[in-house]
Amino acid sequence: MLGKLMKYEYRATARWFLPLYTALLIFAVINKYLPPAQVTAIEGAFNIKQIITVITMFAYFFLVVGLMVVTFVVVIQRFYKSLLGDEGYLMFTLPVKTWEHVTSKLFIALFWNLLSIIIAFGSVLLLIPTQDLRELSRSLKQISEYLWPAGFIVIIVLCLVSLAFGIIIMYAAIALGHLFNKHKLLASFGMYLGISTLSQMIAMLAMPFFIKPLTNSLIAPTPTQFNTLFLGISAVTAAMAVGYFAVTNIILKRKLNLE
Amino acid sequence: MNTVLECKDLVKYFGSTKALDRVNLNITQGRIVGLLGPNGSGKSTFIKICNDLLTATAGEILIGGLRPGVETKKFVSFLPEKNYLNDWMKVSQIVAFFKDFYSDFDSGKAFDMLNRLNIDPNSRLKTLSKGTKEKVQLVLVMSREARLYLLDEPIGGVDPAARDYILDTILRNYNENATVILSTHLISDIETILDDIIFLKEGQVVLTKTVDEIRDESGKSVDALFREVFKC
Repeated sequence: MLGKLMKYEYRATARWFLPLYTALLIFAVINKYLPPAQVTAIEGAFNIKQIITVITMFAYFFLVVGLMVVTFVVVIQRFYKSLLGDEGYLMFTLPVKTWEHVTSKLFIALFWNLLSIIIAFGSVLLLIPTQDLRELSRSLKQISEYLWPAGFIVIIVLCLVSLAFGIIIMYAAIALGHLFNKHKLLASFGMYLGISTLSQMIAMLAMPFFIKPLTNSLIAPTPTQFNTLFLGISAVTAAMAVGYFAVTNIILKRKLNLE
Repeated sequence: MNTVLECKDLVKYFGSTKALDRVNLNITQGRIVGLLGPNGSGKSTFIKICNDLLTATAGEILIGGLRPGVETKKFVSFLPEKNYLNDWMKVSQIVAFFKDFYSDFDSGKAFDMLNRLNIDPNSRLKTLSKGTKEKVQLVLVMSREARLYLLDEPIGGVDPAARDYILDTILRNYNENATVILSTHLISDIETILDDIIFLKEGQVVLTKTVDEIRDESGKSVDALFREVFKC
């Protein structure tokens, strides 16, 4: 059933992302091959070439911002509207377990978040002139040689865990807000602030434990020390994410009140 | 007779407002039951608790001997009074969606009914009128071979001609072992198809009788009795 839920969740969200991705990549390519705007070379009142360049630059910029906004909004809207809005009547009468609903939303949200990041970076790479790209790849190579292979995996783990955490705390905030009889959205927002503060406090309490080995050494930290730190952060974040997931699941299972 | 739905001292509060007040019911297999009462009497609340969309404050409800949950949802077909259709699917896609999730769903039956109601399977849900959306939902719900149908205001928003077809659909599409519970305040329209009635008033069950009993005892129609019981 989880697979089926994810299939429909993907379809419901793809109509937002696929056109945006396509547009973003197209504008990145256009910007790369159009000559850069020459502000000083004004001959006459209108310089069509220049106007087009400026417009495509702005279009690209707005698409990047738009992609970030849409990614954020879709995560919230898909959870709120499809589970706790009128569509919840359909979703919650399906013979499906509550955790499967939450998990399907989470996985698909994670998928789009990752893809949005990859596409946004990819479009930047498309924009960069070829000779700069070579330099960039050289420095990236140095970094990755320094980290490779353990550090590389650790960073990916940290990114995934942090992304999932960011999504789950929004779910938990919405679910907690649902417990209120009135002003559910406002309550959700307040809950979000509350959960964020709580999480930061937990992180601050846990952090010295992981940072200590780093500050003790007088020489530059070794990759292993970095990896330990990042894994520590990942573990704390993951533990909190699991906790918030459980809270979300319990509320939707035992305290669901669709009005 | 087999009990399909049983509830014991069911209580539901919304904040400090009492929506259901110690409801006790026992509904058996193979009946068409009218859940009748004025607006705000707790009809929808009751049906939503049956579907696990609301959590009861106290008391117990058993459907086929089970608490509402994944297992009961497999054999309960629910029509809410709300429009629950999303805005991105086509009619044919929501039919496929039901087919995917409910093993007792019959797509052929659904397309037949859509055809009878002149609903184009290729139209987008977003573009349908309110009444047409209600018809689509009813088609979806009645295309299942469920043991219990819970229909909340199934004829509230549709025109009288479609109303007749819908009632006819309900009658034709449920097998004799299944139970239909439908809530409405349009009593005269559905009176002829009902076996039993439950009157709800301010969250309390004030009367449960078979339609035959009502006719024999008082010589009144359900509609006349309703007007008498709920006189303002």
